[in-house]
Amino acid sequence: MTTRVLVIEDDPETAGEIVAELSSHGFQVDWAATGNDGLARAVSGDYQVMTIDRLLPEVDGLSIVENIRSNGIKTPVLVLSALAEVDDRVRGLKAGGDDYLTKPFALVELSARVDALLRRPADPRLTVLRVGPLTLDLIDRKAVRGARRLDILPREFQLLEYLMRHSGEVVTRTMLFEEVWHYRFDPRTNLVDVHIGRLRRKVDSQGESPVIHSVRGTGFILRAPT
Amino acid sequence: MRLPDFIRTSTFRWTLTISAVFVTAALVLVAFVYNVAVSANETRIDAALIQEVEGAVADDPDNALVRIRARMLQDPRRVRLGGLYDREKQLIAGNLRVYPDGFVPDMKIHEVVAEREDEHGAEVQIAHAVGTILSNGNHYIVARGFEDFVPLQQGVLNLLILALPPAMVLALICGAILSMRTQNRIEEIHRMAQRIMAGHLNQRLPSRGTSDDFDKLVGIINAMLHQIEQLMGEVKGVGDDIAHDLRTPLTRVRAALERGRDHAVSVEELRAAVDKSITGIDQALGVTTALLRIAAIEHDQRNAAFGEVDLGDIVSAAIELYEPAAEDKGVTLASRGVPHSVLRGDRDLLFEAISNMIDNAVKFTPPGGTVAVELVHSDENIMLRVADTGPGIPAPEREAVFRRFYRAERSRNTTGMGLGLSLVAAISKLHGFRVQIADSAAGCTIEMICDPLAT
Repeated sequence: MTTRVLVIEDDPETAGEIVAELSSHGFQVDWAATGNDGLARAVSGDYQVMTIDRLLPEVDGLSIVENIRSNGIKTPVLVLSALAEVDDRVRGLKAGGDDYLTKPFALVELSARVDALLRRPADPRLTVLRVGPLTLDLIDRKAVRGARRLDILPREFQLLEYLMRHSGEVVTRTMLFEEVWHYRFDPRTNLVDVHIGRLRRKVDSQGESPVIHSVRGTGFILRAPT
Repeated sequence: MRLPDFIRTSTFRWTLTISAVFVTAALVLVAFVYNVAVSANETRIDAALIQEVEGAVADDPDNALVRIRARMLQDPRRVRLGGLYDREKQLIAGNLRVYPDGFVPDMKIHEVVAEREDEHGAEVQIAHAVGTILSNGNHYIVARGFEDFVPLQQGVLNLLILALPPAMVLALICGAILSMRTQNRIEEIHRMAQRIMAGHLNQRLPSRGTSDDFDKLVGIINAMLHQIEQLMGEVKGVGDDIAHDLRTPLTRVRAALERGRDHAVSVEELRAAVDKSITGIDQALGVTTALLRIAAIEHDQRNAAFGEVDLGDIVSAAIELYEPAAEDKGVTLASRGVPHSVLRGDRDLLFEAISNMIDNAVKFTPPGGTVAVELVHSDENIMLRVADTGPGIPAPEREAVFRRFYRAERSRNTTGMGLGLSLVAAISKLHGFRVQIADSAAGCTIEMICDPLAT
């Protein structure tokens, strides 16, 4: 079954880009240009994920989210906004949004986040994560590659855990930063890359096939070597 | 008809008011003096009249005739009146031809209309009269007219007529001159103000150096203009800086795209050009995002996301975040004690501010140097101190680095560096904190002084 995505966005050009990007990821994308149309489609419950623009001509994007939630529809929502207010994000999430992205954004960031919203979170009861040769023991805080015990710092452990929970998915720098450091902040420099670089040197030793890969212009992906 | 401008000035109106008050006061004063003079005279005259009648009562009634005659003889000013009448009020002697109508001879002063008749002729006078009935039954009346007061009245009136109009005219002239001076001054200021409004912001209103009211006002306005000019200058400077900060990456983008289009022979090469372009555009977007963010924080009075936060945790997290990057650069990022420090604030914004402080310090510290971060508790406050061993900031520039886009000499060649510290400043201001650059022998020390009680 193909995944259906609803895009509520008033600007046709932006909408075109979003639709193209998400379609290229194999989603079936519907576009609603107005708030009312969007709301009507959203309550139909035919979608697995939605992106909703914060500023729409007829209705405020947030009130759509609130409306959907009050109708008992739990479809994950990614709120897009050109607003840069300090606590705007907080309001977006409070209204019932699941994630929040400020315009202008990179399209890959958008698709990575939509992917993340679609992915069912790994069973939280799991105490051991395994991807290929990697094993992460969440109780003993122990990381092992094959027979080799990895000597990693607490933060690197968290990074590895997040990458492993999302193995096979592209995770962006911002996502890593938000999920591992838990701060809402856009580090303009390559700080996350440096941390990943250190982790990678420990995880992928010379001669081993790498499990952590950089995705050009986007972020990183952890994959079991084939 | 249009009145000349000066008439509508407040100075002229004041002059008119003051003139009117002055004239009224003069009138009141003259009337008062006149009254006092006249009533003093009347009192004296009345007393003399009563005394005369009393004299006549005490005297032999037969002497009354002589007394009346004597009174008539001493009357150069023709004001002395008198009459001796028989029981039937028929004149025996004197110049009061007719017994005054309704007169009561009770030794009291009465105002009467007296008909005077003597060898010089007849006339009617208003007079004060006193009379009595003598022991022989005759009526004895003496009176005095007030004809001789008329010149005094006339004199006072003449004085008013002669003196008041010139005084009024003088007052009007003074008023007009003063008003015109005011008017000229306002004209002068108006002309200059129009020049200033036309864009010559460096012009100042003319001052006469007399420290009068106008000069004081001009001084105040000039100080205001100075401030406005400075702010305009800053705005213009910011505009130039924004343009510069945007143009630099955009120029690179343009060059990369052009080179890619003309010279790329493989998809790989084209991709490289596009990647380079995206980096440049991200840089430009970073500038606008940071600007919007600073503006939002500066104008945001809400503190919805405020809560109790541990500054120590935030600082530790920021140090941990920057440590690997610093190490890669050969800079030691050292924590010099970060105790728990609970205060009210927005966790994310504080993290952003502290990250910017550390980022800034690491950026300007040459390899081999150290960036030391510490949280110092004192009785009144908690201070976050980030000290680096970079080139430092000269004292005169220390205030300015928190301004938007201010580019210290040391960051001349770094793109987009004018915003980090102004973001720090905006965030501390939102929290009611202070941020400053401390005096230090070497390097640069930035301090954020946090009031733990601040909201």
